[in-house]
Amino acid sequence: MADIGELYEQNAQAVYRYIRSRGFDEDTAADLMQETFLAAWRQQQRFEGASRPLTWLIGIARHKLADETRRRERERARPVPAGESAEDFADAADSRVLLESAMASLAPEQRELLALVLVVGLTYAEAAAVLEVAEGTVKSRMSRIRAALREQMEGA
Amino acid sequence: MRCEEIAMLLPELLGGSLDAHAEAEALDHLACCAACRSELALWSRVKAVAAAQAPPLPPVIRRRVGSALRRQTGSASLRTAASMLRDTALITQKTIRLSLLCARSGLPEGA
Repeated sequence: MADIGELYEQNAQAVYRYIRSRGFDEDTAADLMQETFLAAWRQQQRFEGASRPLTWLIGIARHKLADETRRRERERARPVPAGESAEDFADAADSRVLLESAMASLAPEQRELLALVLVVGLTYAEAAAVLEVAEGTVKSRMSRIRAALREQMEGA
Repeated sequence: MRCEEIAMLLPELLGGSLDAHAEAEALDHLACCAACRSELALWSRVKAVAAAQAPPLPPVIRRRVGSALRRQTGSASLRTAASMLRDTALITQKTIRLSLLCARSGLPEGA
């Protein structure tokens, strides 16, 4: 595996954006990103090289996010879920607001899949590995997302 | 490739994860299929919203976390300005190609 500095420089952007897509603020995302890369450095013997390092890193980040969410739940402070910040875009075109509303109504795991494929840049196979489901499941989820968005956009 | 197969590839195309062969095939099809370009425009708008909810890494945070990791792990690698510019140029080229296809669909591409 590449050394941690190289791993960080090549993947920090994607890991950070994945964490932000899950609704965490800038400072928390920075902390979680640091924890993710530190954990990767400590666990590097376990990286088998069968996948891209990014897929492995996103898998580690996903567990860190779950730990953080559980910690916050214990403190009764929840992260703001992605998709609830529509007021940030209030002056955007109607169709964009409509699409944001349609996306906000998707299930959290559907929004996570969109972020993994469209923003982080994982293939369906890589997203399936991160989400621990079959590739076919990812494809059928993607089809359902498309159908739901079309229906909401056209039915509005 | 049929339109249904192309439609399934569009999110990976926009995410930049398609292999070169599939990407070339998808782009060839899109160049002559208005229905698939319309589909691409929809996914492009979905990507724009998803991307807005996942802001890019601010340089100050990249440096801060990078420094902390170097202290914690003893690594001395630093990213050069040249490598950052190269990455930006590659992403920009790809975005321009996809934006042109979306523009041809007559719909706002939104990215």
